[in-house]
Amino acid sequence: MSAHLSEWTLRRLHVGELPGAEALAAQAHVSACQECREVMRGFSEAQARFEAEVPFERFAAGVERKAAPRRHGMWVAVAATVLLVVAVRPLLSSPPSPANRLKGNGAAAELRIGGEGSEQRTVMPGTTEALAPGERVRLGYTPGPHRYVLAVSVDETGAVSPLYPEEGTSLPVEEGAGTHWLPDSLVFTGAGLERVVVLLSEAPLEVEAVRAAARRAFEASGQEVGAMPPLGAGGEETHWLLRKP
Amino acid sequence: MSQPALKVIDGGQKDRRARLRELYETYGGSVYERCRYLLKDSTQAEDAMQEVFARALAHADGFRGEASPLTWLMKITTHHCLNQLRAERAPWRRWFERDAAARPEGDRGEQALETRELVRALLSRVDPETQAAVVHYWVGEMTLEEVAAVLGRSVPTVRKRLERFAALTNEELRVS
Repeated sequence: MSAHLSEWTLRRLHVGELPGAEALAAQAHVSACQECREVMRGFSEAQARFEAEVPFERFAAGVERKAAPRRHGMWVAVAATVLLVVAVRPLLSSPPSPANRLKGNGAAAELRIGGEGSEQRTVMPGTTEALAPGERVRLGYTPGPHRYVLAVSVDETGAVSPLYPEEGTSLPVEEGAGTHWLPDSLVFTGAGLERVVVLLSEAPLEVEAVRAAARRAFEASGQEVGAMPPLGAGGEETHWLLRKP
Repeated sequence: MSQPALKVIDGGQKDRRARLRELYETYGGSVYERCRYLLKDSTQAEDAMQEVFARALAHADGFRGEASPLTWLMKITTHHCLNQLRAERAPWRRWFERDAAARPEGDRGEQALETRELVRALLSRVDPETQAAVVHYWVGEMTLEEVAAVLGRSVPTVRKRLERFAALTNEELRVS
């Protein structure tokens, strides 16, 4: 195989993303090498087979359907109202776990999981919790001295989804003592790990700046969402890892 | 000079549909082939492919800074399909039972087909990260360095994982 270009190199050449000099050298090789030409022809044939098998209209409709919920990284559960009445009310009367407290200043963040027929549970920060199919996540906080709250999540591919808010800057915290719950419950789509981060801060944070910080942290971890360091975007952070079903 | 890597995704002036068509025409075949190879079922493969392109659309910044959108897509595709197989209840048993006529990826001749069948037969015996490394290396024919970059691991780590897999094949596969 050493006499030929690897299939990966040929594939990159085929889609037109080999850098200039490399592309020229590869083209020169291909024009003189029948076997590599065959591989290139195979790519064209595979694309033609694909287009015959999956027409563009069907492709586009399917992608759009799947992109809609992921555009915001979650969907607000249709049954959120039910969860609010049936499941969340007890959350409001239960104090957050002391382990969730940040730096002893009275601030805290809490992640609670609930689903139909299953008992709710609080996830300790810094731990990994498996989500069962259909289970929803609710985020809460006790502001302490902080005035703003923001939440994002990061999936295994490094895709960052702003959760609260979806754009703009941090939300002002609610007045009053006790735990305040962010609106609606979340259902995370896809599979694998999802890191959820709540940031409580004294000044509002830009969602885009937090998103960029999360991307940097993902890269710094060697693209291992489970090993990400703090985002360092400002404010006090609480992290949880969820394993999606 | 390299071509603009983001031309497909970052087309602020292009409408969404035009970007989708460009993705479809440029990468559709490659992504679909990988899904077919791993999932062996055309319906599941199409569903997985749509999921991959939905992520590409929704997280355009995932492409920014990527020298190779193809690499990004194949990483996500492989990861998604392997996850899907693991998420099924009896994934590997069902995997082997599936469409035996699923087209193997690529077209390098008999030897490559045998390699891919061998990989297919043994994939279930290794951990998830090794599975991904094996698919990128022996099916996608990436170099060790490229696989290491995709997985965010060092070259020696990837080599060790691949050699462990190769040992299962009675030296029919080698890591060079």
